[in-house]
Amino acid sequence: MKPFRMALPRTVEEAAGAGGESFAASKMLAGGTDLLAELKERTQTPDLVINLKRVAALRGIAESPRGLEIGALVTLAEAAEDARIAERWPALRDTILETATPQIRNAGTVGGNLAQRPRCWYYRDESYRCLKKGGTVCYAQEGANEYHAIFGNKICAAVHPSNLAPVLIAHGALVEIAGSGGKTRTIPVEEFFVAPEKNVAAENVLAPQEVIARVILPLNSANRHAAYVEARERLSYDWALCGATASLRLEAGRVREARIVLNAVAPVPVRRKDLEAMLIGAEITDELLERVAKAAAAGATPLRDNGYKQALAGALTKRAILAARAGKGAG
Amino acid sequence: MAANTSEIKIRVGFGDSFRDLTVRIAEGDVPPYEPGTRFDVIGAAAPRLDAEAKVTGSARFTYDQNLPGLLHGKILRCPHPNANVKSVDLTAARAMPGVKAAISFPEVFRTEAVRFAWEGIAAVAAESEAQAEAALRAIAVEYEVLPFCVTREDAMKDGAPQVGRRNQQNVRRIYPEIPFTRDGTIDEKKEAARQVEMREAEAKVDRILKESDTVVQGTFYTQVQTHSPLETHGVVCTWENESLVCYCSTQATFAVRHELTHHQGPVRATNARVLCEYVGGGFGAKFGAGREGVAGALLAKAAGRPVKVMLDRREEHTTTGNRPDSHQVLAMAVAKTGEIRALRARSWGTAGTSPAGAGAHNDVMYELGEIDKIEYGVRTNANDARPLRAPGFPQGVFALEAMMDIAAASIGMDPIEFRKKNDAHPVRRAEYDIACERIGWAAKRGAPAVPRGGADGGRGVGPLRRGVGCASSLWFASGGGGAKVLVRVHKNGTVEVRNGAQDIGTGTRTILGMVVAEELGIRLADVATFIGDTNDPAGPGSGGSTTAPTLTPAARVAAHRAKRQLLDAVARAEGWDAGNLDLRGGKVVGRDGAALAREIDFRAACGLIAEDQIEVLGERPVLDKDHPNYGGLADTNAGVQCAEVEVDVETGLVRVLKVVAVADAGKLINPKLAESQVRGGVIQGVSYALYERRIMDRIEGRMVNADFEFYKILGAVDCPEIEVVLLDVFMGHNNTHVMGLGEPPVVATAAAVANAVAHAIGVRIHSLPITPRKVLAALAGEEVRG
Repeated sequence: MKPFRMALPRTVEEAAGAGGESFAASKMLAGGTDLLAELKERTQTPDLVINLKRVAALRGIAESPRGLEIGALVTLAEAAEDARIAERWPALRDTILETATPQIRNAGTVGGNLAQRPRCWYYRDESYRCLKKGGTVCYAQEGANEYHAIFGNKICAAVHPSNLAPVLIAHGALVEIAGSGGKTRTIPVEEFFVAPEKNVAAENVLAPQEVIARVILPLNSANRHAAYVEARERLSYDWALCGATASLRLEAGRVREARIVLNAVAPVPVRRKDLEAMLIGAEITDELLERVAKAAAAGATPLRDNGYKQALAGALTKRAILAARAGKGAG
Repeated sequence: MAANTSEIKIRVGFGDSFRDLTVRIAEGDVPPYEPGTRFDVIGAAAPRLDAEAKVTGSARFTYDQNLPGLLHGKILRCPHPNANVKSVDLTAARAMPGVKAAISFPEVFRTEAVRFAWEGIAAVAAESEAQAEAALRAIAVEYEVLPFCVTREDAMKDGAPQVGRRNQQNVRRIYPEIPFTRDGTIDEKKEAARQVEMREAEAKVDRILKESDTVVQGTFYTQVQTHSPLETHGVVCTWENESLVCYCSTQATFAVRHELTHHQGPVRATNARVLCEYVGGGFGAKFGAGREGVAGALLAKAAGRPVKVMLDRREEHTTTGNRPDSHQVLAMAVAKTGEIRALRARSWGTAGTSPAGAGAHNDVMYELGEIDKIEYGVRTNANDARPLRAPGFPQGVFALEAMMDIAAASIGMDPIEFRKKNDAHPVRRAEYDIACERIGWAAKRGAPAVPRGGADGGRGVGPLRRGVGCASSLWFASGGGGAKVLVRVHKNGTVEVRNGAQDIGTGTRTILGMVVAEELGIRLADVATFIGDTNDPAGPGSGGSTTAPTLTPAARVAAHRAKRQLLDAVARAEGWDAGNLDLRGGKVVGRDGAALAREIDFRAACGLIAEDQIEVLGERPVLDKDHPNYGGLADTNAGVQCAEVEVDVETGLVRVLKVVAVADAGKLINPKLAESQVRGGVIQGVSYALYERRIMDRIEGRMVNADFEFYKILGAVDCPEIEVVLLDVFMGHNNTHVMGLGEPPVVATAAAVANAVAHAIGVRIHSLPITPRKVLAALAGEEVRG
C-alpha cells in the first residue's frame, strides 16, 4: 500500500471539495470493501483518501415526494433490513442478500456498490498493465476470460460487478450526485454507467470531485412484479456468472410495462429493450418465454471461454420473468 | 536397528469377525490391544485438548509470535515465469527508512534461474511492513527474460520453450521410472531392459483388450489444486549467538531444524530450536523451512533482531506447492461376468518445473488384471508440486472410478456390485453395503431420471436432476520408526508426555495423552501433553498419515514401561508382587482389575517413587528398517463414499446434497477426532470436485486467481450433509492397531461426486472441477477441459 493522507469531511460540500483540483490523486472511501483491496494491490495509489464516514447527510433512508431516498452510505445490510424496501421493492432486498457475505454487507454501502470497480483479474493485478490502468492491452481478449463479458466486450471485457445496479435500473431508480460548490445533479441509474467505448478508465459518469449522494427509488416503481435471479459457481460468497432482473406491470394477465436488465455479462449493466418489447402487450406463455430466452443472447460476442454465459442469460431471463410474475405486485 | 523379535499370537478383525494371527514383534514392544478389551480412555469421543484455545483465539500460531524488537520481512518476487537473474542491487533498499537487513536470493540459494512467476529474488527486514514493502520497490533487478510455457498442453507442443536448464526435457517418463546412474545420466542398460518390460506389458494388454467381451475407454483431466491452508507459510526467527530459535508454521519441526542447521545449507545454525505449538493447516506443503524460512533466519541474523516473514495469500498460492494436474487416458477390458481383465493407463501431469510427483494413481484398489501403465511428468514454468493430502490419489481415483462406472454400465451391472466383484479388501467389502444403505442406493439409483414436475420420487423437479455415485479409497499408513515419546511420572502424581512433532490438526496432542492415560489407568485430564518443540524427543513429519501410527505405539511403550516402574515401586513399598499389579481407574489394582486389600490411588503410588520422577523415553518399536510393522488384517485401510448431487441443467450448478463416508483407520483412539478428519477430507474433496483450480494466464505466465475470490473453496452454504460411519478395526500392524486417517477421506470424494453427476444428468464430465460451464457444455454435447 502506498502511503496516503486521509481527509475526514463532515459535509457533502467538504467531501466534494476535499480533493481539490487533483482528483486523480484522491479517492472516496465509504465501506472500504473495494477500495482497500485496490490500495493494497496498488491498482489505485491515491495521495489522498477522502473518508466519507462522518458525512451524516449521506446516511439514512427516507421517503420524499421523489420516492424512497437511500443515502449513499447506507450499508447493504441496512438496506436489506429496511421494512419499506422489503415490502415494496423486494427484488432489491433479494439482490442485496445474494451479494457477497454478511461481513461485507455490514460494511459495504449502496453508493460503493454502484461505484465499485470491476473484479477482472487482470485489472486487479498490479502486474498486468491493462487498458483500464493506462496500458494498451485488454488481456482478457486472448487470455483467461471465463468470467468475462459476452456483450460490449470489444475494448474491455471486464464485467460490472454491481448486483444493485440491475435492480435499480429495472425500477427506473435515480442517482443524485453531488459536486463541488454545492451543485447536485440527478440522473437515472441507467445513465450512471459508461461503456468502455466512451471511457475505458472508468465505469461511470462521476466527474472529478463528485460524490454519490443518494439513490432514489421512484414511488411508481413500488409493488411491481419484480425479481432478481443470478447464477454463480459457488453459493457461498461468489460473484455472479450472470444475473437477470425483470420488473413487470401486469394488467389482466398481460404485460403492460416491462424492464429486463442483465448483469455480470457486460462492462455495464445491460438493459434489454429488445426483450422488453417482446413482452409488452403479451401474455406470458411458455412459448413466449422460450422465445425471450433464446433472444437473450442476441448480440453476444463471446470470447474463447465464456460462451456458456449465453445459455445462462437465456435461462435466467426466463426465470426472472417467471419469478417476477409469481411474486406479489400491484396491478 | 535390527531388534530381536519374538513371535506372538494376536487377534485381528472388526465388527463381529475376528481371527488369530501369528506375528513377529520387536523386543521391547508390548502386545497389541486385544479385541474386547474394556478401554477407559481410548475410544471415547473426547474433545480435542486444544479445542477451546483454538476456538477462543488464545492458541498462538506462528503468525501470533510478536517478539520484542520484531522486524518485518518481505520478499521481492519475480514477475517473469522464466528468466535468469543477471544482477540484484540492494544498495538503495538498504538505505531506505527502517530497513535493517537485506539479502539476495541468487546469492543465498546459489542459482540465477527463475523458472516460475513470483519466485523470490531478494528479501528485506524493516521496522514496519510498509517500510519493508517500500524497500522492496527500491531493489534493482536485471533479468534475462526467457520464453515460457505455463500449461501442460503448451509445454508438450513441438518446439515449446524449454522450462528446465541444460539437458532437461519438458516431458519425462516418471513411471516406470527411468533408471539413472550415480552421475545423473540414464543407465542405458537398465533402461533398455525396462523398455522391453514395458513393451511386453503393452503387448499382453493389447491381446486382452482384443479378446475381451467389452472394452471401455475414457480420457480424463484434473486441475492444479493449491494447498490453501488458512495460515500461510512463514517463520518468526531470533538468534542467541549462533543458536537459532525459529517459530515455524510447519508439519515437520525436525525437518525444518535439520534444514536450518545443515552444514551445507544457507543458514548453518550451530543449534536450532524449532517451535510449532499450533499450525493453521499444512496439507503437505509445509515439510521444510522453505525459502521464506531461510530468509527469516538470515535476515534475523543480519539485523541482530527477531524477524517475522509470513507469506501473503498470493505468495502462498504461487510459491508453496500444489497438487499436479493430470491428463489420463484409460482403457479397461471387462468380462461379461464382471471381472476386470486388464487396464491400460497413459497419463501426463505437470508438477511445475520438475517432472517428479506428477503421477496419477489410477491403477489402485481393485483387482485390475494385467496392467500396462506409463506416466509422464511435464515441466511447466509454474510453481512446483508438493504432496497434497493423498498425493496422486484424488486425481487417479477420479479417472479410475469413472472407468468403473462406465465399465459397469457397459455390461449392465450395478456399479457397486461391479466394484464388489473386483475388490478383495475385507474391510472395504463390508463398507460398500453400509454406504449403499445410508445413501439409499437401491431406491435412488433406480429412480426415473425424467422429472415429472413434482416431488414424486423421481430424480428431479423442473430443471433439477438428482443422482447418486460411489467411489472407494485405500491408504497405507501404519507408521514407521525413528520416533520417541518421553513420559514422566512425577512424584506428586502429575504426568507429562513429550514429543517434538507437531499437530497439523489431526489431534496428535490429544491422542498421545489418551494412549498414555489409558496405559496408566488415569484420566486424559491428568496428563499434560507437550508437542511442537524440537528440544523434545524426535517425532515424524506429519506426512502420509503416519503421525498417529508412528507416535501412539511409542507413547504406549513409554507409558507401559513407566507403569511397570511405578508398580515396581509400589510392590517394593508394600511387599507385593509387581507382576500381579496393574493401574486402572486412578488406582493400583490387581492384574485382573480386582481391588486390592489396601487401596492405593495413583497419586499415592507416585509418592512411593524413590527418585523425583520416573522418566521413560519410549522408542517406536520396529521389526527392522524396511518393515516397521507387523503383518496384519490387510495391507491397507479402506473406505467407501457415496454422494448424492442435484444438478440444475439450466444453470449448470451442481450441489452436493449428501456424502456418506464410510472410513476406517485401524483402531480409533478418539472417534470424534477421527470423524473430524473424515469431514475435513470430504469437504476438501467436494471443494476439489466443484470449485478449486489454479488458473494460469498464458500471455504473461502468471496465476490470475491467486486469492480466495476466484480460487474458490467450498463455503458453508455449499457444504453437503456429511454422514460419517467409522469402523473400528483391530488391524494388527502395531501395538495400538492405529493407522493414519489424514489422507484417506479425501481420496474418493471427487470421484463419487463426479459419478453422481453423471448419474444425475446422463452425461459424464471428464474433467475437474465440475463447473457450470462444463455442465452446460456437456449437456450441449461439447466437452470443456480447463
